Amino acid sequence: MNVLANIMLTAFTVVFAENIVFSGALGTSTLIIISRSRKNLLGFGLSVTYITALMSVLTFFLNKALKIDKNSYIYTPLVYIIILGAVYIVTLLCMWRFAPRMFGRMKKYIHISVFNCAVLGALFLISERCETLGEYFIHGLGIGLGFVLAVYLTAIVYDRLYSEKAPYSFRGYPLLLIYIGILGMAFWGLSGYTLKF
Amino acid sequence: MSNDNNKNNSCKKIILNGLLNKNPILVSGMVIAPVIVLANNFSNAVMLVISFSLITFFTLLVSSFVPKSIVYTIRIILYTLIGALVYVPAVILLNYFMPDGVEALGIFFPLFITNSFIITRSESIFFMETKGKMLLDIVFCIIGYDAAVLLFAAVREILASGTIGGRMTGMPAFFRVFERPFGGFILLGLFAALFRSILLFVKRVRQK
Amino acid sequence: MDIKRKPEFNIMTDMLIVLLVTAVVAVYYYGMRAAAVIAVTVIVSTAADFVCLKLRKKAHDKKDLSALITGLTLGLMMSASVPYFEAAAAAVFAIVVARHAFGGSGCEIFNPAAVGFLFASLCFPENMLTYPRIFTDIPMSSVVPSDILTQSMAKTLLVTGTSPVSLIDVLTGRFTGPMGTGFVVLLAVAAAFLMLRRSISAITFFTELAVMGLYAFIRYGFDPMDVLYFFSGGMTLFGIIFLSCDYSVMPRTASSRFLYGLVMSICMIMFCQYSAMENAVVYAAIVSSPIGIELDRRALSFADMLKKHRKRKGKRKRLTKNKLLGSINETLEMLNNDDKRES
Repeated sequence: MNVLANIMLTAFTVVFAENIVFSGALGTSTLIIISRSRKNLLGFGLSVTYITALMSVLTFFLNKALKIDKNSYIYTPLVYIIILGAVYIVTLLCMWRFAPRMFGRMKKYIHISVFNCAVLGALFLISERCETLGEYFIHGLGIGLGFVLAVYLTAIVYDRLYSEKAPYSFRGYPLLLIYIGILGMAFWGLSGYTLKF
Repeated sequence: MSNDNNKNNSCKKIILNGLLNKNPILVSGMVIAPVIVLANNFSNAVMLVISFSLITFFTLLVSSFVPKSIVYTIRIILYTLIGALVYVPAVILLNYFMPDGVEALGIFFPLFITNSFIITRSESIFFMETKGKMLLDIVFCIIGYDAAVLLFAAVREILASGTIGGRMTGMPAFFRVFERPFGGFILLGLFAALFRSILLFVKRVRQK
Repeated sequence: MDIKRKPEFNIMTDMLIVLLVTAVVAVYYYGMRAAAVIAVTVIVSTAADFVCLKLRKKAHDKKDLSALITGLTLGLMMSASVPYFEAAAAAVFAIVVARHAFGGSGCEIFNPAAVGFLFASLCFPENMLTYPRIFTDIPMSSVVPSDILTQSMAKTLLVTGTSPVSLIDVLTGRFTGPMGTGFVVLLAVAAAFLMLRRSISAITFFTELAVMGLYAFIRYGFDPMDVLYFFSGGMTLFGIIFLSCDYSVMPRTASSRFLYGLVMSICMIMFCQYSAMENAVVYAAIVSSPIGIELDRRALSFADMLKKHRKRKGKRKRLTKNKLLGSINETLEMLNNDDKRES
């Protein structure tokens, strides 16, 4: 029971309080691109969550190996990128083989859901914070879900942010930043205070 | 003669695009994350600008040799791979000259590898006619980014803590919200809006 | 079911009356300093609104009282001892960033007063979240000496779990806290008045009241007194009425209003349960308002679909299996394509 509560608390923290976009600003550029269309939101969300969760588990084993070398910080990104590339190719091949229809639809979006700051940033964040395999996995899953939450919250007001009614100098990108900032302000209320459970 | 003129014009256009009309941070919204989290004081911003310029320039330079015939799927891996390779000498170099700075950048330093600027620019390189123009485009985009970030960080530091480069400016009050990431978002949004209205104003004056 | 809307001007005058009455009580409790703070927020927000309209080259609508309402709401949420500059900064931020950047009155995504308050309380927490005792003589200077300031009753309740305030004091708002948000009886009457005049949504109000009341009841060990503390302290009731049931963020259909109330209360519970902070209602109001927009859009497209479906049913009484599948597909398509629909 205690373990379950702990897991819930960690997941909650990662998804809401320390949301990767609202408090870490990682992957904002990707968010701007992806929130334009609501059609592919689900597919995109699934692929990001899948990638972060899988990569976080792989990172756990990688970090164990990398810890031996003191100077490993120099080539850590290189190793991460190689693994990420391998996962990307394997995923694409699997999709192409087993779900060709989904492959056709996702082709445009999958590269953006793999090679972005949110995924790579998540790996570095996780390596800084976590120790056990379970923590790695929950953080990976939570960061992916948190990113999807942020994209969703942006996509639902997209037409408002880009509407004719907004003044020209604010319309679009500047307003989107302000919107994220205000939401971030509210979500910070969750992380800035002591926890009680 | 007219050919020469044309050439000059297109060069001017590229320069203006990079610096103003398509400024990576104020207009297109690329590589925002480090600016929002880290650039809350001037010294951090200087570090950020140096490392960003170093990694981005060399990555794009090498990336321009990647042939177009390779499938996009593989190409994108190659770009990030090149970024990761450029990172190795960059981190050694910067660690040698300013070890504190690299520490201050934290996880954002390695994140320059997959920044959206590299990914989008490396594709647009194919549309450029010559290598020279491509270089011009990259250099001025980076300069535009750097200038915007430095200005932004200076204003942000003054607003958030009343100092500039660690020295007091005698501001009567400050808004600590702007130190945090969400404050960075809001301030950058206001900055972008201001920038856009200035551009619009200049355009109108010129038309008159 | 699209609920018929009253003219905005009537809603605004109703709101204004209620807020003014609350402001009078605040001035009675805290003296002229409270009046000065409220005056600053009202004047600054009206002025900021005027300047923004001028900059945007829009005509000022005499029937648009929204800046006044924002100023008053903001003023009532503040401590009576807050420095004038900070009150003014909150008002400017509310009007410029939360209202005019998004397109002015009627186009806001967030309630401007909530955003302004949040901005100020994150910028200047030590001044915004400390309060003078009731009926003390507060000097009129901008910065008030800190020895007459204490933390709010809501904070005490959060930290110690008990509150030293008697029942009658809670009902009449005679405890340290934001100046206009504690008087539960007055606020309840105000809510009833606004609901009878159809200026705020009764559906949303009662949904939020019921869910949050249930939560408080369970959390504080089934003690009705503590539930009362929960609603009066930390401006919960005030926030429900003026921040989340506000016309500027309210969805349009009945079902989405109910769901919006539910979402808002879930957010509120999340904030209360997870972090030990007062004024959770402000945060919850901000987080839930974009979801209100989405709910509205979904409800509209759903109603549209039902209407079409009924029409078709009238023409041909029996639906074949294929038709049913077709209508499901249509729904899915509609849910996907409703980006274009203006809510």
